[in-house]
Amino acid sequence: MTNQLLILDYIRTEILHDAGCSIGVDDELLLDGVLDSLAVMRLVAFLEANTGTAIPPEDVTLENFRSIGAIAAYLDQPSASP
Amino acid sequence: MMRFLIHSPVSHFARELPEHPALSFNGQEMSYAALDAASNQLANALIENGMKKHERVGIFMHKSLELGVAIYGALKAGGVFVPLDPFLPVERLQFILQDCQIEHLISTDKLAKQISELTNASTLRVYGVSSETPFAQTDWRQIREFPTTAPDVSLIDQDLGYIMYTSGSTGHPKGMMHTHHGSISYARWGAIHVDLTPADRVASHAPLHFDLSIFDFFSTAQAGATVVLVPEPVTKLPASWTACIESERISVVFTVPFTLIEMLQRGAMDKRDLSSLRWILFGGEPFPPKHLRLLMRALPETRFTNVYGPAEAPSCTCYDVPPLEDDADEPIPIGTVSLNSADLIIGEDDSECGIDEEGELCIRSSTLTKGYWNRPDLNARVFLRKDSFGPFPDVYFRTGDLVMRRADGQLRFLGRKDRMVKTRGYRVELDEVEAALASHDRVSEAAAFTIPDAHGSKAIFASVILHGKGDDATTAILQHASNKIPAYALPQHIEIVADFPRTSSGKIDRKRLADQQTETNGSRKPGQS
Repeated sequence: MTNQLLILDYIRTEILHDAGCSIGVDDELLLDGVLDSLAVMRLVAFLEANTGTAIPPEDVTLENFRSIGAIAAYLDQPSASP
Repeated sequence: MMRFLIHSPVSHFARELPEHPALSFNGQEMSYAALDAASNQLANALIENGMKKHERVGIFMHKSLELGVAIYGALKAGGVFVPLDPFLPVERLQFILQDCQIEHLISTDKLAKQISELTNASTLRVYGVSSETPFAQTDWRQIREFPTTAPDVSLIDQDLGYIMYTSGSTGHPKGMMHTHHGSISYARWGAIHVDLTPADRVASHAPLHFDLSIFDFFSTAQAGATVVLVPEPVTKLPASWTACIESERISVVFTVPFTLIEMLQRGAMDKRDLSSLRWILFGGEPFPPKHLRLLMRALPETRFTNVYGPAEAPSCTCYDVPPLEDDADEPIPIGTVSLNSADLIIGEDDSECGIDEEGELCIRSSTLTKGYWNRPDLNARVFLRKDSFGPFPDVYFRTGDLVMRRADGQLRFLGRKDRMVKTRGYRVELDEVEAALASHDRVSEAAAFTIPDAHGSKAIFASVILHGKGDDATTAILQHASNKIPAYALPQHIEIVADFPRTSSGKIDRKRLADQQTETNGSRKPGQS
């Protein structure tokens, strides 16, 4: 599964509790209220456990977490430590 | 100069410090002169569209410079502003609009979709929205055509300034009415306590519908200082929040312990220059001393104050935290009453408690609410009238909070008399959570309870009994409840059970449910909900 699909699936089932809901890769996750601070923490823990990537706190910024696309791009970048 | 109204300082500083920034958002600033002019235009637009003095004006917006214009525009038109959480489910938004008969709603294009879903609102006029909605509209371009002079509206400080809605145990939110007088008393207390000057840059971190925002906007305005509106996404990301403190040179913050613990644990504080931060006020729920000690050590130049006060009587007590000893784990006191408040601790029979005796805290304060909008039943219950002299009883608010006075005079918070809980600083009535769950067709009975979470706060969990047999319905039930209650009040986990543990009288034993869940939760892996 690609990182984009992994994130999309987690947000649909675990955060929004609606497996069929439509959410785009570029939709604003934080401004539209999809993620609150607790959900961000859970998502980070889930990503660390399921992608084997360590996500340091200073990387959990608006730039890297504004949308599903942004998170996937962050995880896919070579500097993220596997 | 007339300084009895919440909005008076804006006109005052528009004359005294016209170019000084009143608001800052995402690197953009708005001066006192510009804020005064823009809010006058909005006030004139509201009046021109039929708004009468004392009418409620909804503010349904994200953080932005226009949010400041909306607050002062509504007040200058003689209105009572009603903060509406932009993340509110439409059903709940609709309830509030109808409950306090809002016909004028100030909003933004980003929320046009939610506004379009409102029904039974044929007389609604929406301001600040250009995208099409089914309602009458006046957008910002049209508002800017109105005169920049203040409308002629006569108000006194006993008039209502705002109504703030909070969780209600009946399943519907309840609105607290606050006067200009009460808000100014709260604002002045804040400005004096932390000695605000025009040089200060005060964060607006809490949402507008949370009463910390009254300090953020109005204490700041009392001093001619600058409000730094923190964008909602930044408030959810500790590393972005510390970057914001650094880049905006924020000097004063009033927030909840949850935000500060997150900042300590995930804010990469060592990578930021936070030297501008001279005072942190916190409130909403107890701050575990072990976390507070670490934060105070990380910010040795910053002063810390624990502010206590239900939204009905904001900032009625406070405690300036001294350096904490290494092994100190005694809860942080809520301090002593502020200069504009008086306290009374009463036992079961309303008699006064002595030193070290547990009782309910009752507060008399110039910040006290006028009561709940449209709820004579509640208003008859929550105020305690105590004869002091002659025919003028003192009116106290029963906070529902259990406290005791220590021998040194400091008050210690011990818990709640009822089922209201605090989660990440938000006030939630567990009865309301249960009502939202039980309104789903498949749910026969629901029990909501809290367990301690890893961030020094409480997490809401629920157990439900279903009608008949069928598929796992937890997702559908959560989805259903999310249309009724705010996201922060939604249970993090729902367990389907065949029956609840019961007490000998047949009542649901929620304490045992919580204990069982705490054990199970301890064994759950990270990332699982």
